[in-house]
Amino acid sequence: MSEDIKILISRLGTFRPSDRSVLGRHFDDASTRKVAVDAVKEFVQIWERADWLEAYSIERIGKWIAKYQPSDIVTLFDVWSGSPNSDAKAALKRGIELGRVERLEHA
Amino acid sequence: MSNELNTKFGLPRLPEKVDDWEKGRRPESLSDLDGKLAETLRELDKLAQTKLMRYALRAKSYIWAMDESGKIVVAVEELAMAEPETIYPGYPRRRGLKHPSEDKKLGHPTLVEEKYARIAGELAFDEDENDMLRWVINANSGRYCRQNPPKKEQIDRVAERFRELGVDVVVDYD
Repeated sequence: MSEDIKILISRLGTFRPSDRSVLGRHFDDASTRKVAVDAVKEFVQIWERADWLEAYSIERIGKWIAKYQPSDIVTLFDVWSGSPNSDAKAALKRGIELGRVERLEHA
Repeated sequence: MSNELNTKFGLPRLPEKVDDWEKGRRPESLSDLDGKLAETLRELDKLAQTKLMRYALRAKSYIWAMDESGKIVVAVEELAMAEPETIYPGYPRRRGLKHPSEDKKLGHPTLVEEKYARIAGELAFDEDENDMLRWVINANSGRYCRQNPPKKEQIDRVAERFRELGVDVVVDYD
């Protein structure tokens, strides 16, 4: 795992406003987008391997992505979480669904 | 009074779940939000502006909850480790660097004896646009606010409780 991904995973762990700003800038920039995508995937996959789950910490990330990120990014994570085969991916999927609803409400 | 609290802060609800390691536990740092705690939070705000304490204070997270009576309690987000794993309880969970799955913690239900809460969330320092640390409050609780998220005005009213005591907080609605 690259240092850049590790740093973003830290940001995903706290997910305060400044953390989200940093993550958002990574999604905005074509040269760093892949790092942000990989960090979110790795964050979820580490939860999949753990012996417990704080689903809400994943759900709020999915919600924020669906609410504020471009549709191609949202679709990417929606497809990736697919027909969820883990509670962690199900949490991401649920967050995306909630975020989509909020985005429509504020459109 | 109860109806007023229901409208202002939300209906009391039980936690969605209580993890095994939380049962019968309460954070060592559990404190009521009153004038004395507000003074401490203001002092921490001052310390957060210093080079010496900035990074240590940013690494900590606090959790808060409002019980059925309208009382707000606050605690450091503590690790769930207890004897015999540790020589003393109350270790703060340091956010960042480690993945959150590495540390089992004492979550919101432990603030209110696993009972009812009207609204609950997190409190932490975060950088503002001028790179200064500010207290930021949210109503993010997977146990109490996930199924029935509070309205913005209900979060604002909690923030107002802090501000009335002189604690300058910024509300994070996401």
